[in-house]
Amino acid sequence: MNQVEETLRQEVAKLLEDGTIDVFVGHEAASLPLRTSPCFVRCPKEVNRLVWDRTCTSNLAAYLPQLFKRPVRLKGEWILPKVGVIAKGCDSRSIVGLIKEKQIPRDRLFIIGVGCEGMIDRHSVGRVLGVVGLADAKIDGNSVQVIGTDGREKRIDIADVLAASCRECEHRSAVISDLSLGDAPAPTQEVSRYANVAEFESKSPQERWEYLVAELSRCIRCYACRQACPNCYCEECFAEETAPQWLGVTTDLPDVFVFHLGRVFHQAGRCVDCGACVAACPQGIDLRLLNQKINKDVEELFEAQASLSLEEAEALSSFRMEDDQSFMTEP
Amino acid sequence: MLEVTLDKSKLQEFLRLLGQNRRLFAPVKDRMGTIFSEVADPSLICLDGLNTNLSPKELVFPQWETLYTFKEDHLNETELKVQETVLFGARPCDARALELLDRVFTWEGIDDPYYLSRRAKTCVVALACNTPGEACFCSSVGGSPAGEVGADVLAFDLGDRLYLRVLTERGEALLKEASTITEETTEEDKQKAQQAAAEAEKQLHPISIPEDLATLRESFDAEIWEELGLKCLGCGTCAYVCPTCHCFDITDESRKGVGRRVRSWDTCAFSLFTLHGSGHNPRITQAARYRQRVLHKFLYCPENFGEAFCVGCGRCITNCPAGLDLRAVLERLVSSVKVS
Repeated sequence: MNQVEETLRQEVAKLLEDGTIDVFVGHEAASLPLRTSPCFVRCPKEVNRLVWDRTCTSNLAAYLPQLFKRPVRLKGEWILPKVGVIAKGCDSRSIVGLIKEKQIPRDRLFIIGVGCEGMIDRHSVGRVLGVVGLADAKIDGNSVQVIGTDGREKRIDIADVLAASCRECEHRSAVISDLSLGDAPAPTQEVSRYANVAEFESKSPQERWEYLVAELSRCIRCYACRQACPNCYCEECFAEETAPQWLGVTTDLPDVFVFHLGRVFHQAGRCVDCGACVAACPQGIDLRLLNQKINKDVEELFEAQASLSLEEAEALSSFRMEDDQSFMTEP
Repeated sequence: MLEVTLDKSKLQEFLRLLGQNRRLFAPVKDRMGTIFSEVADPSLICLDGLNTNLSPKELVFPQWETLYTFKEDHLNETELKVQETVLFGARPCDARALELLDRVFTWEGIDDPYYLSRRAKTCVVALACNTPGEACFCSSVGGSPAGEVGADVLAFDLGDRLYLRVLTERGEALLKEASTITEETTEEDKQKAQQAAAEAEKQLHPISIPEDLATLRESFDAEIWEELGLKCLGCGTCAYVCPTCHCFDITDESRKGVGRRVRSWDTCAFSLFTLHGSGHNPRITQAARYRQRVLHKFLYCPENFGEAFCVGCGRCITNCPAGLDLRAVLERLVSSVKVS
């Protein structure tokens, strides 16, 4: 057990014992190697379920709004529960976004911030293994020893199987917290942000179209990307509205494109590039590219990144006279 | 029934012969491992993977299909033009799933013409497993790494050759088309296949399945659904990769009186599943929806079709973005029901 994990368990036990929180949202080991599952700890005896390592991929912010949907009855009163959560840089930014968009109440949240050096991407590990499955794995410092279902062993550098978002992350520590378990060390190499967007933009329109078709034609409309995304909390998604019906139910390209482009635009100025959509996709689609393109545009136009603090207004929900207006045309 | 051996150096020629008069579907490499695809060039086939990332049910029960088109009050039924197809290299769990789907789409004497027209023209050459995958549990749900249910031919991979066991007349007719390059099977090959199957079965980790339907009925109000519902993201991944999930939705797409009626996959995990026009939803929480998924497979299907609708392929486990493991849920159900 690592130091962060040990402290985390102690602190959560205290918070539950003294009534600061009613439930803690963290990560627990899942049954498959290199996987974790979100967990909901309600009593101090259960804190040993909590883990913290390089496989805590889920953006836990996505699990928070549901906890505030129904008040709980406590000492004869109906009140909202007090919820604790562990947050790495991306989770904390999503939490900031959800607080600002009034989906979760700040005063009922206890945020334990933690520094993160990047999470292992299961799809990348899968690609190293090829067509066989992952029978077992052990993390050892900066590398991971994997055993395939064919019995073959391999040692992989974690740096080689990091999630794409984590490679380009420059907010590794929580931007908001009530208790910090430490910040992440600064990256050893300079972070090259928007490298994938730059590459995409350098392509011809024909090549870009072909790339998007190749990626999105893999979509099976399972909506895992949407469900894993903290920003996708709409009670009714435009993709499922029937009056008007914005798109059909098929996996034909027009339907798939309308869904994914619609989702991308709804994320404009809000996406924190946590990579939850990419991690969730069972088809390994590059769902990050278009979101990053919009993130880059927002950053260039408004010098802003999404949800870095509770105080500052978000780029697309505020107006400044000096905002770029070049997109406006004469009537 | 016929039994033959095929030297693997002749595999491509063999597949070319099988594909002469029909479409050939087989596993090919994909960024997610392997995937079933229509194969024009047999050299692309990859038999080294275990389960394909998506199940082959798409072949007989496509993700979506047009049932008919309409223009004002005039209907045009879709003509079912189905080609003879061979599904090569499906694992025994996937073959067994087809047999389960057959029961749904012929339930209580009501035949589903769309499904049955494809199924009738699909010849399944299953490939027995020598090593199980990380989430396989077929033997715990009545299957086997060398199971024969649902297949027309069962093939065993013996390293440099395949031993092919014919199970149906359709399978026999298929293999006769390649009889020029197959050989008579030796006793030794049969024994080797038997050993490999037994070895694979030994490597599986058996789990307890709640089989007593009365106690499963009691689990309806069990506490475990609450937390599982919190974990479950409500996406359709498990159902869409599942070889036996068969729920579908029917939608009309129309503009100015012209349109079509489409049938598409649906899943109990979606919040819109069984949402009534009135706004009422009998499964209002994710907990109730997750429970529906498990109890449909392990309680309602045994009640309706005599068998649980799970073949233990493990796809829902390897693909769940929330790390939910059906095996663990089933074991918890067994123990929680026992305790109470």
